[in-house]
Amino acid sequence: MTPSTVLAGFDLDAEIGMSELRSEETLTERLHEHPALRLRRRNDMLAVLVTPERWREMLQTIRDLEDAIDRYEQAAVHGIISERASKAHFVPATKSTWNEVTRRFNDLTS
Amino acid sequence: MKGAPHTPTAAVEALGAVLREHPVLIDPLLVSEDLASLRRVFPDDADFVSAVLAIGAAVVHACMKGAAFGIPLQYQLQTWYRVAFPSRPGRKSKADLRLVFRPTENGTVEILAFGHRQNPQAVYLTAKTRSSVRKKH
Repeated sequence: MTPSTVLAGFDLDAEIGMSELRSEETLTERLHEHPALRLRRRNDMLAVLVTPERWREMLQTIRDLEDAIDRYEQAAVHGIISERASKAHFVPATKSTWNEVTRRFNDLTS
Repeated sequence: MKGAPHTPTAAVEALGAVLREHPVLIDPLLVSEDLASLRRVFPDDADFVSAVLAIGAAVVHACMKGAAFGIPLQYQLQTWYRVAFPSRPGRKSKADLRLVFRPTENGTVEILAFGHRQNPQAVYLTAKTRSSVRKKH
């Protein structure tokens, strides 16, 4: 991980050392100052610490984004699915049917 | 799914075997186009094989669980169900694939579409490409 990657999204002093973790007061105070802390040992970034509230916010953000993606997907596929549903001709997936599928698949991808 | 296919051809054959073993109805044209679209999305053989196997597993689940396996589509398509699942089963990966199916009253399951969730237009691109090729000839 490059130094710029490690610093990305963090205030310069938004970090805590392994030895400082033993102090609950230091950890609480530091998290109060910054929404996220880099846990560092020498030059290595070992983990990221966030408050429970921040973690819940992050999870909610992910859920909101997934919902937005889902709505986008539904809007995008609705037309395709409608057309397919009206024109589809369903048959059992027999051996000969699948041979036809395979032949067309090979034609389309060759 | 029996065995563990390692090539695209074997994976497609394995999917066919799975569909034959279950009360599944397909439109051969749509399935071949969806497989071709899937191949374009997953040009790497191993990724494609994994995706095809994942679709086979999803179809089996649709047969076993019916409507409970998916979420109904909206409006006039509400008899159809959609489900999202990862192309790499067993890993904690994103649900990047989609299956659209309909359980019928006589116990069969109609497969209307499957493919990558963020590439819904791939089917039409396939059709357009084929149309262009035909015109050239």
